[in-house]
Amino acid sequence: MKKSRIDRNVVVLLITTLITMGSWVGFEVYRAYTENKVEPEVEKHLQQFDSTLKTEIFSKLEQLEP
Amino acid sequence: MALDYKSSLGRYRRYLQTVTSQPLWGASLWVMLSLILLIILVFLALRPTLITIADLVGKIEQKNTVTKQLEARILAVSYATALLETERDRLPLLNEALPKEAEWNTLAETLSGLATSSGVTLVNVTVSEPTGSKTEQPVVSFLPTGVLPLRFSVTAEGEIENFKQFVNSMEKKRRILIVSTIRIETTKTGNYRMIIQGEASYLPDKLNI
Repeated sequence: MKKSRIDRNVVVLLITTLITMGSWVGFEVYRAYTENKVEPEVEKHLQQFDSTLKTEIFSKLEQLEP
Repeated sequence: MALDYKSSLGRYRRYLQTVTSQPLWGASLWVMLSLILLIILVFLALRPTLITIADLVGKIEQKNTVTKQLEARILAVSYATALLETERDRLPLLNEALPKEAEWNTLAETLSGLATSSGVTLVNVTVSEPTGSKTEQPVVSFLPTGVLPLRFSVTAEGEIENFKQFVNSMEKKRRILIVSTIRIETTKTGNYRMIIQGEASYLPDKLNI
C-alpha cells in the first residue's frame, strides 16, 4: 500500500515535469521564431524614405521677385 | 431472501474496500521508464530540432520582409532620383529663398532697393549680425528647427500708400522675410514714419537637419 502511493507520486511528478518541459520548449521555440535576426547594417537601410518633393514650391518661388 | 441481500451487501463492501485500497494510477516501472524516456527525448532531441526549425522559419520570413522593404526603398530612391533630375535646374531657387549663409548685406541692399522703388525714404536700416550659434533659436515659432533668424529693423518715412507698396514688395520677395511688427507714427513735421521689425532666415549646412 505504501509502495503504491510512492509510485503514484513519482508518476505525477514525472508528468508535471513533462508538462513543464513542454511549456519550456514551446516558449523557446516561440522566442527563436520571433527573435530579430536582421543585421544592424541592414536595419539602418530599412528606415522609411520619403521620396516626395513638393514641386509646387518651385513654381511659387519662380513667381516671386528675386 | 434476507440472507441473499446480506451476502450481496457484504460482497459489495469488500469490493469497495479493495478498489479504494488500489492506487489511482496503476503505476508500474514501465510507465515511469516511459515517462523518463519521453522527458529525455524532449530535452535532447525534440527541443533543439524544434528551436532550429523555428529559428530558420523566422529567418526566412524576416529575410523576405527585408527584401520587400529594400525593393520598395530602391523604387523610392529611383523615383526620387528621377524627380531630382527633372527639378535640378530649379533647385537654386531654394537657396535663394533660404540661403545657406546669413547674407545680411544682400538683405540690407534689398530693403534699400525696395524703399527706392516704393517711394519711401529710408531713415534707418538695422540688420543684426548672425552669431552662428547653434543654440540660437528663431523668435518666430513656425520656423523649422535649425533655421536661424536674421533680425532686421527698417525705419522709413513717406505716405501710407508708399508704406503699403513697400510691405507688399517685401512679401513678394523670393527670400523669406517675416514681418513681426509694423508701427506707423506721425513725426513732428507731420510726415508719417513706419517702423518695421522682422526677420529673414537662413539654414547653414553644418546643422545637418
